[in-house]
Amino acid sequence: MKILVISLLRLGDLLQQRPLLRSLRARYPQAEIHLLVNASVAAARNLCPEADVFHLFEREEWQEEVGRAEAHLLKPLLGLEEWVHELSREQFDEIHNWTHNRLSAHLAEALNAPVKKGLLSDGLRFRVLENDWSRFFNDRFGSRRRSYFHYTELLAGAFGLDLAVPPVSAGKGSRILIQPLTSDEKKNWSLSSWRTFVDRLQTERSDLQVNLLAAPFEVERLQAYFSPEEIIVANLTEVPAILAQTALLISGDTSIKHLAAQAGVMILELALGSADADKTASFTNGSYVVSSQVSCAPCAHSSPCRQLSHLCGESLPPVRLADAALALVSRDFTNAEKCLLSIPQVRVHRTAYDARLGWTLMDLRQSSETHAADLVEKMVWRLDMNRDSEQVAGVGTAARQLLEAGSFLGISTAGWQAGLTLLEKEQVELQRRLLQVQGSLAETARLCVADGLNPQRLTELRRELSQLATSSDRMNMHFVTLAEAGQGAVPTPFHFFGNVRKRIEETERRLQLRRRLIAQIQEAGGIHGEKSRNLSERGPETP
Amino acid sequence: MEFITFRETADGLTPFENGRSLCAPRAREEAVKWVNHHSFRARHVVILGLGAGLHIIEWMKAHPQAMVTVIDTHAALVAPFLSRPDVDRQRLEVLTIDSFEGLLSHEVMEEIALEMPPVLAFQPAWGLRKELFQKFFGLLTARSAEGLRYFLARFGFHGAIEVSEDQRLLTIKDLGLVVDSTFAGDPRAPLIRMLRELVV
Repeated sequence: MKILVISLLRLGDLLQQRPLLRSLRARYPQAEIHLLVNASVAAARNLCPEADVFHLFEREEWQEEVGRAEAHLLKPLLGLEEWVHELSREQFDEIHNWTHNRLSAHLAEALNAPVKKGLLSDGLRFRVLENDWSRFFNDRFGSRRRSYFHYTELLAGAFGLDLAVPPVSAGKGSRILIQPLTSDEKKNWSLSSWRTFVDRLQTERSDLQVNLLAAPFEVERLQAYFSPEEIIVANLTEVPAILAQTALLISGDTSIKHLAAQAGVMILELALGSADADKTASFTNGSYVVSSQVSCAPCAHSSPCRQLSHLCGESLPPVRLADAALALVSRDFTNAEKCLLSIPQVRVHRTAYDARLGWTLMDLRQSSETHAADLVEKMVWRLDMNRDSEQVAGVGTAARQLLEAGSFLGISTAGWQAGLTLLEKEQVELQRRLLQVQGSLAETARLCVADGLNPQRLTELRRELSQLATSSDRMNMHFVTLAEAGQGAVPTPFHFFGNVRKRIEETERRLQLRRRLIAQIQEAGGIHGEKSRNLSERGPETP
Repeated sequence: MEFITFRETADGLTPFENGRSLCAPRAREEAVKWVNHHSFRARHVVILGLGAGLHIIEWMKAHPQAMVTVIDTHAALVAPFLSRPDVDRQRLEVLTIDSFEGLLSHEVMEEIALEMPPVLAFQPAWGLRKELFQKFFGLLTARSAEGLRYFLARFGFHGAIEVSEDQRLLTIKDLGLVVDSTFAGDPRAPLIRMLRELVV
């Protein structure tokens, strides 16, 4: 069997897909796995041994050719046709598009294979919605909307792949490694801040080896602040060996961070600029993320910083962060967290992974009650999106898993009780909102039909739907797809009503599941014990 | 009716069209600048506009492996240019074509269709025939309505093509619109959509 995986993304994204490649290999041990990547990440070849064959897409060359005014307009087409023809000669059995962009969708369309998965184009429209995981990814990734799932988990769900438990952040040796520069200026902490940070480390612990990691093209810039002895110059394939002797990595949002996560190195991430830790923090267990609470963060990925100064970076005090790093390298997590939490106006998160619940980004400033509520929500989404899977857990099992996971994550009984109370209150409000939308839909349909299907009649309902998910709080998350159903052009009002009705049904289904799960956990009293083991798989009967 | 005269200047024999120079001021310097602006690898290029030819000589010096086809509308310019000792005639072909229909029916179009070489415009040499040279450019690069129709037909895209008739050069986005509206089902349509996505 021959499988082509299309991953036309940046290096960091490709590295986050490594667990998926391993899973694909484990599922199809005899398959020939081909990986199509941008030529700019060709250096990652040795880091993806699960792929048998690498194909390169010369994106920058094509871009240059398409963009040149003196070039024949059709020449790139003929060149691309030849390239696609060559690739098609491999005669793939399956094509998996792990790239969620239009370019990849069109490419997947152009290639022939009996089975195609992921984002596809059928001409003028995109088909991504083969499963709810893909839709969730489509709705939330690239936006500031919250995601309960890591990027890697979403892709795994979308492609039906299992994920191995990621390593616990432990690290080896006594080196503190710093990856100071990222691919995007707005994600960089200032070099003067890094200098102060390093000075503090060296002053407090002269026994520690502190190094900055740099690619060859970054050296000159770093040498303005750091001596050559402090800088380790390495290319990508040399990094794993360096990480193998590293106790702690301090990094911005970089591909090195993802390599470190997979190597089990402890990480302290400074999530600045457009870094969205909620979705792409290190996929590991026991690493830390610090980010600013400034209102503009995370900012848009493809725009420069709009502030007069780099507010998010300026809110991170180098000395205190260094003290936290020193506590981490001594494995004094209590003090490390105390130190981080003493910094005002920053968010402090810790990554966690529990096989029952998956990856979680725990906000250390949040109460136990909110943690508990977030875990329940994550389980609700997971159960709902996996509802057609043969291996999905029943509600009773899910409740037990939640309680066990909560215990692992340090949620107290009181936290569960308070969390469930909060969830119940929210449930009432969620049901009320849904009923209101159902009522508005019925009324709008009546008026629209009476007015000869005048599309102007939809305006008010569109406006109402657009107000449903204006923030990314827990409750609004349930209405994202409903809000989106209210936007966009449709051929006729019937299409509009059909779309909205479908989203209402989905939301209703999910809220019912939520209610059942809350009830199951409540039945167990929020305590993991004998009682929880006897929970009905289907949950309690509807009162 | 344009007439061509020549005058000896610091840059050598300079052609004039109805008394106006067909070279840029400080011709050698401008030629080098122009070459630097059009510096890329190509096996074969077409250069529109001969003038005194300094820009052609400089381009060929900078690209010692490339073949060059020069197209101009004035036959009178050719002999003085080719008589220059610094012209590499082995890699050069000079054509004089003085109408759009003439270019359309010229055998060079076969070569263009086969190789689709880049087309470089040297506008100081266009003189009073700027409009004609622009039409040449649009045809040779498929970046005018006529050019796009011509080449789409040659490459098997048959159908009525609606495309902007204004004077701006067409881009991949225009091609994408044409494909989406007229050739949406063509197996090559996804490729054009791919190319369109490469343009920010």
